[in-house]
Order: sequence, then C-alpha cells, then structure tokens
Amino acid sequence: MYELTPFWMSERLKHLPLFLLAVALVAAAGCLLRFESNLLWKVQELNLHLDTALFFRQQMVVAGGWLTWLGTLFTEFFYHAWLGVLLLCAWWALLMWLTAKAFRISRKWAVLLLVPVALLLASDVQLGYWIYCLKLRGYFFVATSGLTVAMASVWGYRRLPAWLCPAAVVLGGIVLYPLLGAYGLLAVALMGLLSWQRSDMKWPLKAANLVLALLTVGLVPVAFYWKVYHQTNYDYIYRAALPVFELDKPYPQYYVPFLLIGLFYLAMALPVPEKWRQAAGKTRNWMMCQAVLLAALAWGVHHYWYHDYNFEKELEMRRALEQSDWEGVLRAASRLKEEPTRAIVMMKNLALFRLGRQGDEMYHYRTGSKAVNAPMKVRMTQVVGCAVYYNYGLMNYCYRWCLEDGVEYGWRAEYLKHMTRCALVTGETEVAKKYIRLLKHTRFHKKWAEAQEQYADHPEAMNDNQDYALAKRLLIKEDRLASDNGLAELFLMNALLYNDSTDPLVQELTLLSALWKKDIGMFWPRFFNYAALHKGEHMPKHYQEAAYLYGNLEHEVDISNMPFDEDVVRNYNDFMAQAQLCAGMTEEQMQPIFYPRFGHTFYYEYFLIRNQQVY
Amino acid sequence: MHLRFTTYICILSVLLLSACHSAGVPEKYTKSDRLPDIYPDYIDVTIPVNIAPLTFMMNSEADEMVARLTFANEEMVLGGDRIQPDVDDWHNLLQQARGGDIAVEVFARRDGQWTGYKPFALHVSTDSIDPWLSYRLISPSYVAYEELTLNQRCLENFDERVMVDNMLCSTEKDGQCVNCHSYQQYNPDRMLFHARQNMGGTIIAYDGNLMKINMSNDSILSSGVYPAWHPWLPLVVFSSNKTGQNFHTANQNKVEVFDTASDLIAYHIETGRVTNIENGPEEFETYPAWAPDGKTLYYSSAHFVYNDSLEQEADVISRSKEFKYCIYKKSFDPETMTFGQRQMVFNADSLDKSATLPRVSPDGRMLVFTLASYGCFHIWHHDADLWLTDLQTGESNRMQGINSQDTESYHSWSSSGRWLVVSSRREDGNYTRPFFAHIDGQGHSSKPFVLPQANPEHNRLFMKSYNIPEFMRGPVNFSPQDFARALRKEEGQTAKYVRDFK
Repeated sequence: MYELTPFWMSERLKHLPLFLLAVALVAAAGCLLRFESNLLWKVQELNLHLDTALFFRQQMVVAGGWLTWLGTLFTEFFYHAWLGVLLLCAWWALLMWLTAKAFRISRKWAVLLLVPVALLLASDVQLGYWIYCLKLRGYFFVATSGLTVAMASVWGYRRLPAWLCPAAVVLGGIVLYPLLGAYGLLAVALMGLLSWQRSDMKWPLKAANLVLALLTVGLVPVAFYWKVYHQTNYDYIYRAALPVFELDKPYPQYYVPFLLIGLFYLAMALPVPEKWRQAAGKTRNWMMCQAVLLAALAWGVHHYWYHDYNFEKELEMRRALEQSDWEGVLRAASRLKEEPTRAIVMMKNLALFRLGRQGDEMYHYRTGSKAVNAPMKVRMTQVVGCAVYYNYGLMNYCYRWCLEDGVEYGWRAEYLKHMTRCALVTGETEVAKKYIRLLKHTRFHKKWAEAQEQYADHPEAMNDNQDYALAKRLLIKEDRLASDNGLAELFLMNALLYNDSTDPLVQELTLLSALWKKDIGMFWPRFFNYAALHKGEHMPKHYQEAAYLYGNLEHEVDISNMPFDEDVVRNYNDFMAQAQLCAGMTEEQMQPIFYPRFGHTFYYEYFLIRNQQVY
Repeated sequence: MHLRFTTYICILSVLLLSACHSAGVPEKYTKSDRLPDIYPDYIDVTIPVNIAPLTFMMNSEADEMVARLTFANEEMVLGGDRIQPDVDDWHNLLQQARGGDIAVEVFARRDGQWTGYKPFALHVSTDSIDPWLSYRLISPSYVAYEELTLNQRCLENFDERVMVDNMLCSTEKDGQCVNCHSYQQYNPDRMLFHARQNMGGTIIAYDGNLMKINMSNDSILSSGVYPAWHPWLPLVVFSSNKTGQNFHTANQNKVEVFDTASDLIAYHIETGRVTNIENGPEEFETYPAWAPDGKTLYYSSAHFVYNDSLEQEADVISRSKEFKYCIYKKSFDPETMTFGQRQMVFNADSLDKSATLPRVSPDGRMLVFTLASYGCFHIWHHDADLWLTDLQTGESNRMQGINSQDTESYHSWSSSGRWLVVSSRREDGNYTRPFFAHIDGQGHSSKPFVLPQANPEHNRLFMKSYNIPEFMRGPVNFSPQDFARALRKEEGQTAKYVRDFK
C-alpha cells in the first residue's frame, strides 16, 4: 500500500523522511534520558534476568515467555540509562524498518512508522507507580520486541509465493503463539488480512487465507491450553504476553496504547481504496495528514507521560539511598514544591539519622503525608519500606516483604540484594550465598554480588564495612510476633520505641520514635537515657524543644534546671503568644500563619501536624 | 562458495569433537588426603538401586573436574565443569553394584594443576525406592503466593511433570492456593488435594473419577485440611483447622504459623458423608495418620485453655510457646466405622517439646514424627528434628544420621518401609529440599542424600521449596487441565454432615 512514487521530492530531499524518523527517535531518547533516568534506573532494579538455562525454562512455561526472557534481558541495560535507551531506540528503528517492509510503506508516508513507536513510548512512560506492581516481566521491551518479530514474520509472509500462504498462516500461528503470545496472534491476523492486498491471489485463496487466519487465531491458543501450557488461566490465553493492569479491579485506561497499536496494524493491513489513495497523494492533503499525525502523536505521548513531582522525588531519593549518598537524599528532600509522601519523609529522616543530624534538623524539611498519585493502592513496603526496614535494623521484615513481593510480582534484583544484605547481617550466610550466586548470573549486579562474597565467607569482614557494621549494630534483637499489615512506618516506629539500649545510636532511635509518636510518657525516660549516654554533649534542638514543651504542658517533670538553648525557649514563647492571637482558628487556618516562623520546630509538628495518614 | 561450505564443515567438526571428547583421568595430579568438597554432598551415602543419576559439582571454584566411578570391572569416567552421568550408563552401573559400593574418585583442576581427592563410596542398596515422588513447589513466602504447582517426579530419571497448577484457576483478583496432596497407599489413582480461595474445594481422584467436594459445614470447624487416607476403605480423616500466622521481629524462624482451633473429621468418599471425630474446644487435634493395618489412627494434639480476657488469636500469639503437641492414637473398627478413646503415644509436653506429623512405617513397627520446642508448623522451626518411636517397645529417640543442624519436618515412608523422605532446610535454612535416607529394620538411618537433579546446581538456583514429599507407585495420569476443569465446577458436591458413620 501507499506505493506512491516520491515525485514530490527532489533527489536531495529524498532522505528527509528518514531524517525525521531519526530526529523523532533522538527526541524520544533525549526525553527519556532527561526526564526519566531515575525511573529507568528503578526499572532495572525491579528487573531480573539470569543467564541460566533454568531461568530460560521458567520463562517459557507460558505463551510469549520468550518475550519476557528477551524483555528482561534488555531491561538490564537500563543500569546505564543511555545504553538501555540506545537499545530501545535500536529496537524501535528495527520495528519501523520491518513495518515499512511488511506493509510497503513508502518514504513519503514514513511518518506513519512513528505511530507504533509513539504508542510504545506512551505505554512505557504511562506507568508511574505501576512499576512496583506490574507482573509482566521486561515490560519496557516486551511489546517492542514482540511487535518487531511479528512484523518480521509478516514481511516474510508477504514474500512467500501465494500457494504457500495458507500453510504459512497455520504454521505461523503454531510457531508464533508460543514465542510471542498475543503479538503472534496479531501477526497471524495481519497475514490473513494482507492477503487482500496481494494481486497474485484470487479471491477464493484470499478468503481461505483470512478464514484460516481467524481459525488459527481462535484455535491455536485453545490447543496450546489443553496440550502444552499449564500456567495460564483459560480466560487469559488470548492475552498472553500482554500486561495485566488489574489488581483489586481492572484499570482499562492503561490498555489504550496497546489497543491503538493493534488497530494501527490492522488498518495498515487493510486494502486502501484507490480513491483514498489518490486523495492522500495530493500535496496539500498529504501535508495536512503529516501535520495532524505528528501533532496527534506528540499530544498523545505527552498526554500519557506520567508526571508526578513526588514520584520523581521518591525515585531520586531512593537512588541516592541505594548508593548510601545521604547528602544526596537530603538535597532531593530540600525545598520541596509539594506536600511530600510519607516515603519522602521517611527517606529524609533516615538520611538525617545516618548523618547524625536528625535531632537538630528533622523539622527543617517540608513534611506531609500526601497519598501517592496512583489509581491503585500502593503499599509503602513496595516503594521504600524494605530499604527503610533494613536500614533501621528490622531485617526480618525487610526480608519478608522482599520475599512476598518477589513471589507476587516476580524476582527482582533489588529484592535479591536486600535479601542478601539481611541474610548477611543476621548471620544466615548459606542463604546469603544462594542470593549472591543468583546475582552473579546477572549482567550488571554481578560485581555487587562478588563484593558480598567476602562477607559471606568471612562475616567478620562486615565490621569493616560502614553500612554492614551499622546494620549489625542497629539489628533489632528483641523478638516478638507481630504484623505490619503493610503500614511500614507505623510498625517501624512502634518496634523502635521499645528497642531501648545502652548503645547511644540505638537508644536515640527510641527517642526519635517517641517524638514521632508524640508519646509524652515514653519520651521522658528515653530523653533522660539519651542525656545520660551523651554526657557533656550538646542536646539536639528538637529534643530540647520536646522536653521544654512537655515540661510546660504537663508539669510532671521539673525542667527548671535544664540548660535549654535560648532560641528553644524563645521559639516556644513566641509560638504560644502567636497561638493566643489565633485563638478560635482551625489548624488548617493556623498552618500558613505559623509555618514561616515555626515550621522548623517541634512545636509546629506537635500542635499543627496532627492526624496524618500513615502508610 | 565451495570454500565457504568446507570452512563451515571444519568449524562444525571441531565444535562437535570438542563437545564430545571423552573425559580421562589426569595422568599427573597431586594426591590429597581430603575428601572432595562436592555439591550436593553425596559422600558415603546409601542409594536405592533404581535412583536417578547423582550429578554433582565442586563446591569451590574449579576449572575442570573428573570423576571415576568404579565397581568391580565396571568403570565410568566423566568430566567437565560438573559430573552428569548418562541415565542408562548409570543404571547399568547400579545394577552391577547392587548390594555393593561404587568407589568414586574425584579430580579437580585449578590453575592448571590437578588434585586427586580421597575416594568415597556410594553404597548401593538392594532396596529399591518407589519410582515416583510428588511434592508442591512453593516459594518460602509467608502470605503471598503466585505460582504454585503440585509436581510429580520420576525418581529413576529426571522426568518431572506438573500435576496441578494453580494458575489455571487464578485471576489477578482472585488467586488460588493448592495444597495437601495425598494418596491412598501410594496409589496415584486414588489421590486428593485442596484448592483454596478462587474456585476452592477438595478434589478427589478416585479410580478414574474426579470429584470436587465442598466439605464446609456448620457442624464442623472448617473444611478438611491435613488428610490421612484409610489404607483400604474409601475413608479420609482430615484435621480441620483455623490457621493464622504472625511474623517474628528478630527470631530467625521468621514466621509462626499457628492454629486457633483444630479438630479431626472423617469423610466417606462413596457416601459423601462427613463427621466429627474429635472436637473438644481445649484440644487442638491435627496431623492424622493411619497405621498400615487401618485399625489405629495417630495424630498430634495440644491442650490449650484460652484466657477469656483476650481475643483468641491475640491469646495464641502471646502464648505461642505454650503450644506443646503430643502424639496420640485412637483405635478404629473398620467393620463398625467407630473410633475408640484416645491414648497417649508420646508425651512431648513432658520434655517441654512439641511433636507433630506422626507417620507409621509400612510394617507398623516404627513411628516417625517431628519434634521442636513448640507449636505445630515445624517447617519454620530451625530446631525441628525427626524422632522415632519403636511401637513395640515404646522407646523414643532422636533419629541418628538423618537429622541436621537445621530444620527437618515433613516426612514420608516409602512403600517398602526401607526409605524415608524428609523435607529439610539443611542446605541454607530457608529453602526446603527432599532428602532420602535408608532405614534398616531396627530404624537406623543412613546419611541422607538430596533429590538428584539433572543439573547439580539446580537447588542453588531454584527459588522454591519442595513441600510435602510423598512417594507414589506411578504417576497421576490426570492432566493439570483436567484438574482445572473439575475445579471450575461451581460448588462441587456438598458433603453431608452426620453424627457418626454407624
């Protein structure tokens, strides 16, 4: 179709469409690298590809399993974002070339080739929090590689002599369905439809091909269900290798790019009436079509591109946290433009704790508990809970959630790394070695795994590693049976509250959790313990503020001899004076008045940040 | 063109030759007086004459290894980065060595130097093992599950098949759990398993028929859970449990699975009737097991009185270490289908321990059970070990040889009574693997060996546990799709409650 002679182009301009495609790819790559490098990093952390026969076999137990094997393989390369993006663009370039070949799209209409690529890009960047709960492995490359192989098959089919086509349709279904799942079925359907574009076929053969294609699409998955695969519910056999955007309920809006891709290819396979062909060939119409199409694609990609300030902050902070770049975490948490999610607040607090500045600075950052911007429920443990549990010494719960989520959403490098760390810290070296062995079969986490081997072989070496030494020091030793019900922050604070210790660092955590819980009764013993363990040191500001506030509120502890800093006392007095002036106002009305002057104090936190939702 | 073709042929030939080169014992090597450090540990194990090839590899890094297996005039020399005997050659060697020892010499090359290790023996027992084993493959997770399968594996080779796959009846919204597969006297034509949640019910395969049973009933605690087929009657005794779980903050056991109530019930397959056997509110009966004569039912039970001031689950959690299960038995009259009074068999409580999973040997002489400090779900207890009671003398002892430093829990006797398979976490403390041990007439156990795999590294790379290993005389012939079709039936047959079977 669209085999129009490029009469409108001069010899010099005939490569212009190709140049435009290249520009589009470069623009897509540029945007991905500019805006989504943290997302891409996270996507590869949530990915796992092992170079073992077992891993390959495990993917191949469902139709389209080959695509997940391929998808996870290429997703690995997002470890270096530029490399992953380069490969993604290379796939897209290949897809465009094969699509052009399969449907004989002339250079004049090369802009059409951007349609599937733009939709694939949209399908990738629409995800947001779905990266945590999507079960299709290798998502970023599955559709791309599936369509590419499907187009190669359609092109091959197109080059076959007419008499071979019926056999090719059936054989295509039998071969492509197990390899490509739904993309294989699409390829077969396209073969059936393409017959009607072929001039070397008479209509009975065209009709036979179409009927055969439809029968193949309908029956091959059923046959594979009964005879080959045992891991796909009958209700899903036609959707093999497609993502399932369904948790407690379906989220159909996320299927739109996939639906449009299917419709695009079906439209490409249909014969075009001569009248339309001629009309589209007129320069004015052609130019209008190009402009409308390009504008629609640009709008579509922009529309589907998930932008959320907190989501992006979380990713940035999580990446810094993974690298123990605590200052980096704080840089990301400073000057927040929106109310943060609890994940942001927790990571900020963790960084301050690790830097020994939480008692002085924890209220210097914007706080809040904004719900995640996602239509589905996302657990804190999925976003950052595991890392936070690990860093505060609750290894069993970090390990548990890694295991639970690994089982439910598929094993991921991030989980294996956490489980390795937990096992090393708790002394379960044999199981740590298991995870290290697995990670050694990955391309980019191998080095990390090899570095952990020394700790499995010589656990005493962990004392020389700052992170492990601290994790061992913070390890919660008192055992009790409990359940966090996914509320990581609340559970953690309760666990830390009762983990009293003579270790100054561990003890400070109990004081911090008493502060977090605003529990006056628990605060005082922890405050005095802290003072006893830090004799001669300056008492951090927020602890002073809490002591001064609680002492004045309840008068149960004599604070008259405590050496409070001048500004602690002044701020309290000013806060109370201001509160008198605002008598009768609601908390919401008082917050903007008090924040500029007192937002960095415990007083503001205590009186004006209340009933926050915890996750 | 001709030149190119010839080049291809040459390259192909070289590749084929290099792939097929037969291993040879190195001529020069340094002799070590140490045993080879191999994985899995098959050193000096006793193996059945019909077992699949024992594949193994060096535990520590080696560039290459060679193993020479000899018995009398028979010799097998294998090499590469791991030792993987051919199935037919292996069985020929085992037949020759029946009742004798195969000597195994291992050589490893590191940095161009070969080391020859002290030889070890594989003791080939004349006692064969049941040819099939079934188990559930499940990740050792706590609450979440996704892909669960009941698999059957031929123990004579590496043929593994999926019997039941929960994904066939799972949706994103409604998952399905499958569990508790069980057979009547190792008979693959008479088996059952449970499905929970989506399309749940008990599936019973009985002489070619598939039935879905809904056992839930107001008169019984919950549906049937842990099953025990009567040796010949169409009768299955189940425990009926209300189970919960909680998670340790520090203990390496990580999770505690507990019952807040449990009873014993019996289900008659032909009449579809169900009745209570034991349902006292202060007794937690579970894990029934029949003696092979079909006249005695063994089970575990703990005595627990709730504190009225607490919610039941909270009470169980706070006092979880007070749960001490003992082993009891009840007589059964197959004629009248009536049970007698319970009798204590092993008083674990007196040792401040908890005993679960009683299983009687096919000759009726020995009772093996799991003993740990407390509770009923010992696969999560690192201190769990197998104990054996001589039912003739009543003497009970921790089994020697078969136990490890880590968990030993679910176990099952082979039909000959000469092999015991046990779920053990000895490899890494977290992932359960089936280990087999030879048991002699006096109940002495040999050193156990792990289920052989085609790739010896399999267990190290595999992220699932082998749960509930059960011997079978042959494979189950229903396909996963057959079972799924049975499960998709809306309700299934509802069991009819009766006060007794008289």
